[in-house]
Amino acid sequence: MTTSPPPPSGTPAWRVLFRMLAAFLALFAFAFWAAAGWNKGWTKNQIAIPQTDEITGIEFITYQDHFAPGLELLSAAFFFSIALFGITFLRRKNKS
Amino acid sequence: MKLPALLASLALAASVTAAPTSFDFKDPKGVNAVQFHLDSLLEPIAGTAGGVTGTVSFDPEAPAATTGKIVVAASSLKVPNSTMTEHLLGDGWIDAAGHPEITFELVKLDNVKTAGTTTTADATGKFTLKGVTKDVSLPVKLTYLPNALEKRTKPGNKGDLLVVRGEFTILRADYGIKPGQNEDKVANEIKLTLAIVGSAPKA
Repeated sequence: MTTSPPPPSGTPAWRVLFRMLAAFLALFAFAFWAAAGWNKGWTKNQIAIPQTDEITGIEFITYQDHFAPGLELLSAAFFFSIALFGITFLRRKNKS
Repeated sequence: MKLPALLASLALAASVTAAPTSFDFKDPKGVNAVQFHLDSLLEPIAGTAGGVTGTVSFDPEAPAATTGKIVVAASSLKVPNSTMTEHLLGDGWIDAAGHPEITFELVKLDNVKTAGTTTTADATGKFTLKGVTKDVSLPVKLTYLPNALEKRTKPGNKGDLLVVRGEFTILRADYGIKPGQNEDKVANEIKLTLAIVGSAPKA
């Protein structure tokens, strides 16, 4: 009596894992960007806080440490996610 | 001569011979700054330069005779993104190491109008950035605050304050800052806004 090998599954496990990772990365990046202030400009390490000098009326700026990821970081994360997702569709060339 | 008449004569003589007061713009409270704004790809970039020093000689009785020079430490330029600040101070942009000072030297005031303690005028001066000096003109507003130093610092610190406000626009290409490069990402036009206070302590 011989045992036959298991039938090949539809999608290899590593492809499924990479697709899940890509989806997780995209969702995490979007959630982090939105939670950090929905900053539609450049990434900032500090935020400018306008203040006014009482005697002179001069408006001046002080800075406070605050990380706000910008659209360029979100774009980079999406680009990486799409690349990761795209890798899962690559097929090895058959050597003839 | 009677005493009141003598005092009046002395006061008149003092006012005629009164010298302009020198105001020091190194502000102990750190309020002085030049703000700069320029358009860029995602959003306008706004930053400040807080290292302001210099002196302005101002006489409230003769504001047209005002002279002075304001110096900004190039290394004090700052934007809310530290990487962007590093690029800004680097050789390609401001070159803060090679050209540590940005200066404005007042040459003359035209169209001087004074109302109360506020004087408005059109200032002409020499603006130097990255080793390049050009003539610039800008509307300025000078606010003289007599005996206000004490309120701003500490009791017993007698003296006057002079607030200078102005705004002008330069083209970075005129000062050798990446002329013709990256203008689709960072605008050529830079708006500079000045709001600074100088103090003149009285002995």
